[in-house]
Amino acid sequence: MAIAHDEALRPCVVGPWVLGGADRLDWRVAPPPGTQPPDAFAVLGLPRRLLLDEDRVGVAARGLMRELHPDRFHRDGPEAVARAQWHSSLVNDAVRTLRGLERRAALVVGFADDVGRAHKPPPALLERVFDWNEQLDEGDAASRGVVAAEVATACAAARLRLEAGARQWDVAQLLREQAGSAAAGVTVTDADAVLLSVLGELRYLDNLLERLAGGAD
Amino acid sequence: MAYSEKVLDHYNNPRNVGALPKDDPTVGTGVVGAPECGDVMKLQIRVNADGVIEDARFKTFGCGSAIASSSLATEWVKGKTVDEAATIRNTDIVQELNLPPIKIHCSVLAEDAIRAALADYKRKNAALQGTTP
Amino acid sequence: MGIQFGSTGRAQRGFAVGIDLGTTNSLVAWLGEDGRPHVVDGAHGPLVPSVIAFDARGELRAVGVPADERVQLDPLHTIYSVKRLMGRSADEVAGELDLLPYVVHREEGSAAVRIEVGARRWTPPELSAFILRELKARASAALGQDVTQAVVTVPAYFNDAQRQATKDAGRLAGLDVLRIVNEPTAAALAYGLDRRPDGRIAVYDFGGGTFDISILHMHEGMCEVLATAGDTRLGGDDLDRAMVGAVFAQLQAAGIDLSGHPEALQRLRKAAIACKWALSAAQTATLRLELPEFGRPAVEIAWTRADFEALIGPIVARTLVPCRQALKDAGLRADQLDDVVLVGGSTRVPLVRAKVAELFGRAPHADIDPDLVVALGAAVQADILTSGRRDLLLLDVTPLSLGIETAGGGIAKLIHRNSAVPASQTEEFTTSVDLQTGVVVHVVQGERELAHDCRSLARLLLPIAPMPAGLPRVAVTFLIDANGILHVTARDLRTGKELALEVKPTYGLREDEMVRMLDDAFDHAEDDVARRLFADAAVDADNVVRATERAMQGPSAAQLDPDELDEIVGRVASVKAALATRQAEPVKAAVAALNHATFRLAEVEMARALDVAAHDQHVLGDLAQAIAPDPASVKPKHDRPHA
Repeated sequence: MAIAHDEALRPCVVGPWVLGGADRLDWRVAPPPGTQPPDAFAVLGLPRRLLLDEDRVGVAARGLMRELHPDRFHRDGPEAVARAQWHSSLVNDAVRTLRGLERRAALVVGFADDVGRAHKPPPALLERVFDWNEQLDEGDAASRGVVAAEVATACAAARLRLEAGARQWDVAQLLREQAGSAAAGVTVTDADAVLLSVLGELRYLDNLLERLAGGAD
Repeated sequence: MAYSEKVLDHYNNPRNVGALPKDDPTVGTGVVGAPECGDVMKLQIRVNADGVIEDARFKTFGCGSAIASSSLATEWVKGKTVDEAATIRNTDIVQELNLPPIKIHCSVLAEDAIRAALADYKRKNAALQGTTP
Repeated sequence: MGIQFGSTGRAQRGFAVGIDLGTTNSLVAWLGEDGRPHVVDGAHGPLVPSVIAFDARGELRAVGVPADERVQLDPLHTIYSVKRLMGRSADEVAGELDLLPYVVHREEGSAAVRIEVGARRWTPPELSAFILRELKARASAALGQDVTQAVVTVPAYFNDAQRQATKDAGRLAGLDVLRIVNEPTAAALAYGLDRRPDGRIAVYDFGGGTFDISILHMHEGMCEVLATAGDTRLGGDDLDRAMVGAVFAQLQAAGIDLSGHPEALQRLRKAAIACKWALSAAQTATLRLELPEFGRPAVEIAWTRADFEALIGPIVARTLVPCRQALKDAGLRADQLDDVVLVGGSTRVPLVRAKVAELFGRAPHADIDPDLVVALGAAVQADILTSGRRDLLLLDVTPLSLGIETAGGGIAKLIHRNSAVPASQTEEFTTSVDLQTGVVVHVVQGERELAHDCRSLARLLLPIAPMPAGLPRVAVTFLIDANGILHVTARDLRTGKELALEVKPTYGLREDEMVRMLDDAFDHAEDDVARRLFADAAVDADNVVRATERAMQGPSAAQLDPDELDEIVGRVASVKAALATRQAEPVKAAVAALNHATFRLAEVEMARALDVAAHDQHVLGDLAQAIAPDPASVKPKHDRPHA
C-alpha cells in the first residue's frame, strides 16, 4: 500500500519513523523532527511558479488528501496511520505556504530563513514606517485618515511591484529549468532582489493595515 | 518557567521610552527594523563632552520581546563610553531576558539599534572632533 | 505495540460504533448492512441522559434514565453535566459551579478537578467512562457482539486537554477510541451522506453545554471544514439557568427562599426545562413547582414565549459572535452559503431559529433530528475507518492556535487556528547560558496574546548535553493529528538522535493514575457484566410473569386442569424468589421452568387468539360488504360531492 503514496511524495525527505506504543504515547508519536520541510510546490506536484492559478492548489491538495489522509489507513494499523498523519500534514502545510502571492514569493526567496533575516530595509522606509506608527499613536482622527490613505497608496504600489517581480522571477525560473538542474542553484537574481525588498516593505505595511483596522494598539 | 522580577519589569514597565532632539549634535539616532516580523525600533543616545553616554531613549513598535530588548539596551548604554557601548552583544540581551530562539531576532535588532545610534553620533561629530576611530 | 487493530474486513464492521457523548444526553449509533446509520434504542428511546447516580456511600447506582430520576431525590450524589468539567481546571469552572449541586474539588498538585461522591473522588474522565460503558453495553446487546471500538464526538471548540480527557474516558470504558470527531463535522457527514451536496454549508450546533459553528465545503463526498468557532461554556444549560434564576428571584421576593434546599432547586431545574420545551411549541406555558419543604401547595407561574425570549435573548446573541468570526475566517459572506444545518437540542427553541435565520439570511435546514444527527455521523465515520470505503472523507481544522510561551509571558504562535489538520511545525531550540542541561518549553493553546490567558497544555523538558551557550541545536516538532490532539517529538540536530522528551501535561491524567483507574475499571467491568446479565434476565422474567398472570385471569385458564394451574402458580412464585437473589442464572432457570409449565396455557391462548382473529376478519368482511355492496360506488370518504 505504501508504494503509491510514497511515489506521490517522492520529493519529500521522510526520515526514520518513530512510533509511540501504547495509547498514552500521543505526545511521543510524531514525524521525524529535524528533517527539512519538503518543498511545497513539489509536495503538491505543481510547477514552481509565482503566478500560479490558485485553484490548482486546492485541486491538487484534495486529490492527495483522498489518498494520504490518516483515515484511509486505519485498517493498516497504527504505524501506517502515524505515517499518514505526517504525510498529510505536509500537504496541508504546503497549501498554507502556497496560498497568496506574498507567501509564495516569501517561499522562493527564503524570506522566513537566513535570507530574510540578513535583509536590511532601507533607512528611508524605516523612518517612514516609524513616523506613520507615531502619528497613529499621537495623532487625531484626521491624521489617522491621512495615514490610512498614504499606507493604502504605498500598499497598492508595493503589490504592483510584487506582481512585476513575480513575472520576472517566473521567467528566470523557466530559463533556469530549461538550462537544466546545474544552473538551478541558489543564486540571487535581480528578480529575487526585487521580491526581497517588496516583501520587506509589505510586512511593515501589513502591520500598519492591521493597526488601522483596529487590531493591535 | 520563572523569570526574575527585574526581567519581567522590562516587559511591564519599559524604561527610557521617548525621544531626544534628532538634530542635536550630541544626539545619535538609530532606526532599525526586522522585516520578517515587521518590528521597527528607534534608539537615541546623548553623549557628553567626556564621550560618556549620559542619556538614552527608545521607542519600539513591535512585540513585547522587542520592547524589552530595547528597554534593556537603553539601560545598559547609559554611563558607558561610546566605545564600551559598542561591545554590547545581542547574546548578552538574550541571556539577561531569557529570550527563546523564536525571539532572538529582537535582541539582534536592539544590538543593531545601538550600533546605528553610535554610527550616527560619530558621523555628526567626525567633523567637529575628527579623532574618534 | 499497545493497540492491536485486529484483522481487517467486514467481519469487524459491526464492532465500531459512533458515540455522541453529550452534556445532557448521550447516544450510540452504528452503520447497518443497508449502508445507513442507525441509533441504538433503549427502553426509553435512544437518548441516554448523561447522568450517573451513586448512593450515599459512593457506590454506583444507575446511569441514564434511572439516574436522571434521582437528580431531584439525591442531588449531592447524582452527577450530571460532567462534560463541562472535562479537561478543565478548578479556576476555569468556578463560575459554573452554582449550576452543579455536587462537590467539585481542586486536586493537589494538578490543575484538574475531582468530583467528590461519598468517600470517593472521581476525575471527569472516570465519570464519563460510566456513560460510555452504558452505551457500549447497550450497543453490544443490540448488535449481539462485543463492541470494542468507537468514534467519539467532541465539540469542535474543545482544546487538546478536553480531547485527551475524552479519549481517556473511552479507554477507561474499555473502548478503543478510533477517532475523536468534531460534532458539527459529524453532523455534516450525516447530512452529506444522503444529499451529496456540492457547496458551502454552515453547521450551527447549540447543545446542552457547548456551542459550535463550522463552515464546510462539501465536494464529491469530501466534507472539508473551512473554519470553526465556538464557546465551550455556552449551551442549553445556560437557558435553563436563566429561567431558574428568574423564578428563584421571583420566589425569594414572595418570601420563599430556595437556597439551602438542593432538592427543591433540582425540582425547579426540571420544571424550568419542561417549561422551556413547552414554550418551544406554544406561546404560553405554566411552570409548576411542588414545595413540600415549605409546607405549602405547589406554585404555578405562567410564562409567555415573549417573557422567555426576553430572558434568553442575550444568551442566544452570544452564539452569533462566533458565527461571524467563522464566516470571516472562512473568507465567506453569509449569502455565499448554500445551506445552514441545525444541530443540538437547543436549536428547537424558536428564538434560536429566528436569530440564525436572521444572521444567515435564510431559513435553516431543520428536517434532520438535531438530537441524533451527530451520533449518526460518528457511526458513518466509524464505518469509513473500519470498512475501507473511499467515497466519503472528513477534512477538519484545529479550532485554536498552538503556541509556546516566550519570555515575558507572551506567546509565539506555531500553528494558527483553522489550520487544516494534520498540521505540523518544527522549531529549533538552543541554550542561552553555558553548560545548560535542559530547556523548558511551555506549550499553550488559544488566541490571546499572553500565555496566562491561554490554555496551558504541557511543559516539555528537553534534555541537553552541557555545551557552551548557543551551540546545542534541538529541533522540536509539533504535530496536531486528525483528532486535533498534539504530538511532540524532539531531535538533537548535532547527533541526529531522538531525544527522550519529558512531558508534564497540565490537566491530563498521569500514566500511574491511568493505570490505577484502568485496574478499577476492570474490576467494575466484571460487576457491570454481572449487573447487565441480571438486568436482562429480570426484564425477561418480568415479561413472562406478566403474560402468564394476564392469561391466568382470562378465559384460557378455565381450559387447564387444577394441577396445571397449581404448577404455574408455583413456578411464578419461584421466578419472583429468584429475582430476589439478583443473580442472572437462577432467574434464567426459573423462567425456563415457568415457560415449560405454561406450555399448555400458551397453546390455549394461541388457539383462542387465532380464533378471535378469524372471527374479526369474518366480521370485517361482513362490514365491508354492508358498506360497499357495489365496488363501483366506492369513493373516498373526503371526496368533494359531485356537482
